[in-house]
Amino acid sequence: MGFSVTSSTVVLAVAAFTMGGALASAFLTSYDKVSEAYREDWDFRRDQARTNITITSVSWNNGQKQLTFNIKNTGATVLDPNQLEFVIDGRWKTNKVTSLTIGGVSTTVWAPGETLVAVVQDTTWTSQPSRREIVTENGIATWG
Amino acid sequence: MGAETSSTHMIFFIVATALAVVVSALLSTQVYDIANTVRDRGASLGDNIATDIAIINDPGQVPNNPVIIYVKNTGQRTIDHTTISVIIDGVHRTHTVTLLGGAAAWQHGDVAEFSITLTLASGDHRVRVVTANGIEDDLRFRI
Repeated sequence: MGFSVTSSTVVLAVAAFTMGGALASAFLTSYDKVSEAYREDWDFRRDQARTNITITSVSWNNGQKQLTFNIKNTGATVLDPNQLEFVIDGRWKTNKVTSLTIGGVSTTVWAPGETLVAVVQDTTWTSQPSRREIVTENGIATWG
Repeated sequence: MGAETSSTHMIFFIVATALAVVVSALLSTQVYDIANTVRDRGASLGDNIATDIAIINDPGQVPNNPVIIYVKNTGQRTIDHTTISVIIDGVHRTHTVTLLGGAAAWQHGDVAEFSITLTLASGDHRVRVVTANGIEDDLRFRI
């Protein structure tokens, strides 16, 4: 009788340890994924709240069918000029951007306070586009 | 008498061990199912939290006939652009979708263009774009 109790206890104990380990591993994996996602989301929301850009001037070259924007990073976060979207007269024109420079240099770091010069050229434009929207990588939009 | 007792003990031993094994096996199946569900739910919840989209149309000048909606993936996850629902003025609309800028997948920062064969009347309208995992963005605009 003693052996019976001992053997069944050992079998159940080994099973309980194995199951406990599997459950703990699953909960830890799950917790890691969720906490990592919350961290990414928190970073995104923080950057979004600190993002602001202002179009300080726009000039039109009718011969070149070209718009030149001066856009200032008026927020408190570093942006990537290559991640900007240009929606001009209602149409996505990011593929018509010919130049993105800061101080004459092409860069992926657009620091707060710096002015980006963006040139958009589309030969299908017959006159100066009237509505110009620019959207940052985190969805903050400005018009000018 | 001694042999009878030993064989009785042996039978008890075998039956008890076998029962313990059967009970453990049944419990293990259930526990592993629960563990897998917990793992799947964690991954799914993580994806939901890190998914985000933004409609980037100019609300004062949305292309009409066909209606064109531009949506930027502002989240940290690649989104399956073929599973997106577009709802305009409360009605689900069939659409064609194109990833702009030659993107092969709708990754962070990429823009997808949704074209809906529809002529909207002059006035105020609302578009809502919803991903397969329920993340959405909406935009009120005027034609």
